[in-house]
Amino acid sequence: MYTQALLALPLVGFVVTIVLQGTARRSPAILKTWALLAFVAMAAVATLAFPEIGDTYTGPMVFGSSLSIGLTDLSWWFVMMIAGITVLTSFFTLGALRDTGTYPMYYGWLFLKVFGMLGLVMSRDLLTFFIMWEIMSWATYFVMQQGKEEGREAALGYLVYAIVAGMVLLGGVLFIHQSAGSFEFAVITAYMAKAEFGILLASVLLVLVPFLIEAAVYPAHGWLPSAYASSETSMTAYLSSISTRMGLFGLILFVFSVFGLKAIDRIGISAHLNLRTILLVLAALTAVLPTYTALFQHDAKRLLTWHSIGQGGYMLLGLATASTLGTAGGLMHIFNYMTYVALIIFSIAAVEYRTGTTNLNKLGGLIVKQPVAFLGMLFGIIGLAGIPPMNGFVSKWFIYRSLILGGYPFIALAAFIATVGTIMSVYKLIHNTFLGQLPERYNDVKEVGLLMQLPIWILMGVVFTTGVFPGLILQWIAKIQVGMGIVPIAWTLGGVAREAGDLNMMVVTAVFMATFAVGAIIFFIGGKRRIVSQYDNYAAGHFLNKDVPYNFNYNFYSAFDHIFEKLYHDAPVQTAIRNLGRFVRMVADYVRRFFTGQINTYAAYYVAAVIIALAILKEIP
Amino acid sequence: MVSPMLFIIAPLAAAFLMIFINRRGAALALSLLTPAGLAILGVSWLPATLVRAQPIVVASIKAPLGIPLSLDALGAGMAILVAVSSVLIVLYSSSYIHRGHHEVRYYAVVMILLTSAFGLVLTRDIFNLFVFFEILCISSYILVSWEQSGAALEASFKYMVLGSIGSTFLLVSIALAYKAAGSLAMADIAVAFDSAPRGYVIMAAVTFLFGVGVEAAIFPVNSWLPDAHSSAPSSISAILSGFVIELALVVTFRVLNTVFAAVDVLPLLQIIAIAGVLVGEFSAFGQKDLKRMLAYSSISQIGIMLFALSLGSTAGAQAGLSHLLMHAGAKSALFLIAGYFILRTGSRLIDDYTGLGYRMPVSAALFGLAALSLVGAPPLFGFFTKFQILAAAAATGGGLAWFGIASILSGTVLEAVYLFRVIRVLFAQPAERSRVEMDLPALVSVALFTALVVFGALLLPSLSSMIGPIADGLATLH
Repeated sequence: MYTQALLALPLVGFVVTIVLQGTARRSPAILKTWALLAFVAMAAVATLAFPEIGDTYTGPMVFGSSLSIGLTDLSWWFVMMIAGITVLTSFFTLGALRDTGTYPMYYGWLFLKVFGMLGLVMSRDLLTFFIMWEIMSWATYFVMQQGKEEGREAALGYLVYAIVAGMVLLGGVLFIHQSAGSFEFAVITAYMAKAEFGILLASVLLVLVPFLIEAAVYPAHGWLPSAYASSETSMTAYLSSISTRMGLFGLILFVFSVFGLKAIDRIGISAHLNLRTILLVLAALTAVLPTYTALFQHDAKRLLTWHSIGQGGYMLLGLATASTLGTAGGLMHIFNYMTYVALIIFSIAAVEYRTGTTNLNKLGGLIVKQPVAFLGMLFGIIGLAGIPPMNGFVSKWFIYRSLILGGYPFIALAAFIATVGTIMSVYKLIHNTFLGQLPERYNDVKEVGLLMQLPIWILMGVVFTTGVFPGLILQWIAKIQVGMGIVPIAWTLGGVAREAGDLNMMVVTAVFMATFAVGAIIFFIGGKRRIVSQYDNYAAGHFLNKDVPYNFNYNFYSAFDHIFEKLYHDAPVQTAIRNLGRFVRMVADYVRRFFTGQINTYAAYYVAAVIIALAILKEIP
Repeated sequence: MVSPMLFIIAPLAAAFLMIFINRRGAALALSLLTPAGLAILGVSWLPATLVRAQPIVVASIKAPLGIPLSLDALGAGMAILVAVSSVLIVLYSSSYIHRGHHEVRYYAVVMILLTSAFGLVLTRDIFNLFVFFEILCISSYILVSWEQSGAALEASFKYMVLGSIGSTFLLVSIALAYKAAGSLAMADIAVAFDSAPRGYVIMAAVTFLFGVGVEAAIFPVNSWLPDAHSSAPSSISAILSGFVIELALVVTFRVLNTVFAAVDVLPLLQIIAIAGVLVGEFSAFGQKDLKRMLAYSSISQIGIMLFALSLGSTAGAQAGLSHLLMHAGAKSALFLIAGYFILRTGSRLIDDYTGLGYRMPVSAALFGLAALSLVGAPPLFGFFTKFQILAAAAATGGGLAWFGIASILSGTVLEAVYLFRVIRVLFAQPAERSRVEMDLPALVSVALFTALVVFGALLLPSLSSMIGPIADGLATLH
């Protein structure tokens, strides 16, 4: 009952939004309020649907099988994440989206995208899954279109990847349906357990490749940064936090439930050299390379989109170990990343709202003007860098542990290396935005209003609370793990017991706070302090004034940039993909020359066609 | 019940009548009412034809001396599609075709084109098929050159030359058939070919295929299409791409599948179809002229339909015919909207439509929907028909079928990219925002076509009881 209502609500929202389009320009408040109310209602229905976990509801018959939806522990968890982040985003846009006339269908496409995502996570058969996957892809493209002009070209880049993914998946759906004889997950699971190796391999590859593309796993990650970074900023937060994870959802669903881990592990040579090993290597590359690319970005949004790729690598690392601790870490990292990346981008959006830019070379010193945004970003980057006491630490700790215990020391090393890159790049982010000297032109900047502050405060609370009490999240993850066929994690409120060493975040946080307290005591009783003008300072022997401010934030990390430039500017994968695009265009140009415009050649085609057809028919018995 | 002979007589009579009256109002009324009436006629005959084919006796003369005509479920279905499409396209033309510009003659030629279209569906005589084919071709040549611009005249001329080559091939095939059977009735020829030498039948089949196939735009005898469909007035492009090539495809396939059943042409048709899909999509990719792009897309869509039909399975035939219905709606809508884009900007180049979506929001939205359906985005009609085709191909199995699936899937990637480049341009930042929406009759016409492709999936359950007998028409000669 609530399950169907949950899916119906965003669709109703889509239709009503189209009807309300006329009001968008005159009084945008109507549309914004409607969107917020509808999404809050959706979140409420999602909560009410909790008792319906395990039920399946069938819809219309299509191609001889009925479309079916239903909630599982895994899907309910994703539903709640989608609902939560959608409510927060739409609340944030109340203040942040100034001119709704510029983004005519922002909410409309958002509704449709939410419909696609909810349908995807609730689908209980292959056909529903595919239909929802496609709707989600199309809607995502249109959502991206609601941004600045340069974003639209980038969105087209996303579309190409999305369609390739969609068509490969469609090939997979057809192949599996043809082999297993059904769209139903249960039938496919039973079939795959005994399937011929060739059929199993083809099915798994045809299904996993699209998920890896959607999850922006190296080397299919190229579409993400431009497409996300040039969207409207609140949408960047939304896309980064939940959208990319739909690929991971598909991966979790198919690897652990639909195909089953046993079937997946048949693909390989030995226990340590199989499909999961390949996934681990890809995940490690995804964690390392994009993270170091993030270092050199000069736009705050773009910097974070690279992390959206890199952190996805961590999630896949944990999941691909298929161990209790690893999957717990991977699943939890999905939630954690969602919360702190939304927090960071909301903070950036708050800065952009007042300064009109997200260019890291131009900002600086805004801590005195926008302390709430600063605090939001601080909480967020502590999470992103994986430092206690925020939630990012817990999931990363799980992932590191599982890699070491699982016997993947080099992969674990890669994860550590990626973390160094993360810390360096988030330092750049917060330094260039909030620290250093305030440029003169931002003297009149004020903190954003309460409407935009509230989501930031809420997310700060979530990031901190789930960091100190990871058990709040782990209790759900343990349930999900049972459904995935994995031994559930032995969680406690503060973390985990027994699993190769306890983790109690309450103790960790207490120690962390105590250290701060010692520092604070020394600070307050120790020395005198004097508050001075920001120009009462010197750098490299020069006195500073407003014409010669210290300017570290311009071209931050340029020395690294200089060294590693070649590695990421001419990355072989990107070059290969660019060349593929060029090749397709070239082929298209050649093929088009078939239509010469000359009647003589056309007449020759007729003759050739007849001769070739006669030859072919003669050969066919 | 009213005789199905009216399908041929009524539009012909209307054409002559409107020339004599020579009034715009009368011409418009006649060309709206005639197909509307015929649509009703088709619907009224449909239940009977679903049970069995209805032979039509002309002037009380029975076979073998009479003219063999027959209305089966396939014929009735195609006739309804043609009639309804023409009502909508004539409605569109009422605001699209300039007043005074030999307007009456335009409608008259459209009516003659309809006569031949219905005739092709009804006839069971291979020479009558030739006659109707010629009428169809000649009226198409006239309509393509309607705007009398240099490009239109050139396109029409090329079309005429290539169409004539096709007619010649067709005539050769008919001659071979007549020599073998001593009769022109399809049923007799089919019997005669069963015992004729194989090489002889192959020769007749191939010349037939590339004779009628010219009008069906099958690869590689479709080279006239990009010029003709893009230079014609958009209403005519919609007629040509919307139902003429589909109709010709169905007729070609049915005759090959029944009359020439002695040779198995299906593998050849599959190869031709796949080549058509790839050539069409690649040619449309990177095309800067909107109507040309749509014309190339028609080539690939015809390839998809032919692929489905030539799978040789019931599921394939049904899927192909469903796709035909979808394509008729989607491509008509796209061409008709493109017509107004051209009317409003004076250009056929996609780059000149920057921001037009803000000036014609409804048209642009409908364009987007039709394009999405053509690409096969769920939950629109196009997804279901394309999925059915792919599923039917997967069920057939074999290397060629899976190669076809792979080609259609890759073609879809290209198709989506080039169609979405158009949508992206339409909604780029506009230079001006004054509204220049389509005129009301055109808007209604396009909206109805788009409604078909949006809600068509809802028709599928009710279609499923009819599509069986309709698809059977592809394999039987009654």
